Amino acid sequence: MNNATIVKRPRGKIENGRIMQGDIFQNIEVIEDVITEQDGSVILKKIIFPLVICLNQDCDLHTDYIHREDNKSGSLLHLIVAPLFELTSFREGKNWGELMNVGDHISSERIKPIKMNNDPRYHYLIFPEKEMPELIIDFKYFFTINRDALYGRLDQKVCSVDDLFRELINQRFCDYLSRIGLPEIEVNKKERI
Amino acid sequence: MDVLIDIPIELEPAYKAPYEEEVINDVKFNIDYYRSHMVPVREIVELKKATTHE
Repeated sequence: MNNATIVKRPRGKIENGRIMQGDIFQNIEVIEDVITEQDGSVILKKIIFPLVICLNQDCDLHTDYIHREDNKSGSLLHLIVAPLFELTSFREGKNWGELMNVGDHISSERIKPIKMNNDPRYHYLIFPEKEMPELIIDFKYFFTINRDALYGRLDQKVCSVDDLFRELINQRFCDYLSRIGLPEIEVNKKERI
Repeated sequence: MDVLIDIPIELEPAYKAPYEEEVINDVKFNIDYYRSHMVPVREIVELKKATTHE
């Protein structure tokens, strides 16, 4: 588990009351859809995620925090978060519950690169200092949340990923988003010299 | 003859670190509650238009 990201308790110095890169929150809602009916009523569909992690760059979060009250350039509208799933339910293909049928059981062979953080789509975290389960970040299902809405949920902050480890998560997230899928091209053997 | 002149120079740091305080947060995480609520859940809320009575 040398490549696993180890999450420590937030014992380090932090800026008072600011959301930081790598902060993990519990019970966060995302507005999935808003539908206006003909009779004027509004249907609000939302998803509540048990755990999410903030993926914004820390310098952007810092600039937003100090410039917010002055409404200066640098204030953020939305923050980027991605869901975290418990490892066992993830392996069983049940991590989305009734929302999505994600597939079959993930074999021991398949889970190895994921736990080594060698699969671009996922990031594996462990929490040796606290009673929290092993978690998987799924970069594919990142979403954004209104900045003020997440600040209103600061009391739901569970912990924070330590320096360097949080930068690694962001680096892998960006790598995943910028991946390029090349088409398979058949090469005629006679053409190969 | 070389003369050394000791001039005290106060240098300000080029970067001023933001105000920080050491915070030790207890992780408010109920593992038992999490294990029974560890999958995302969809909620649908219907907001009806308020009617006015004259």
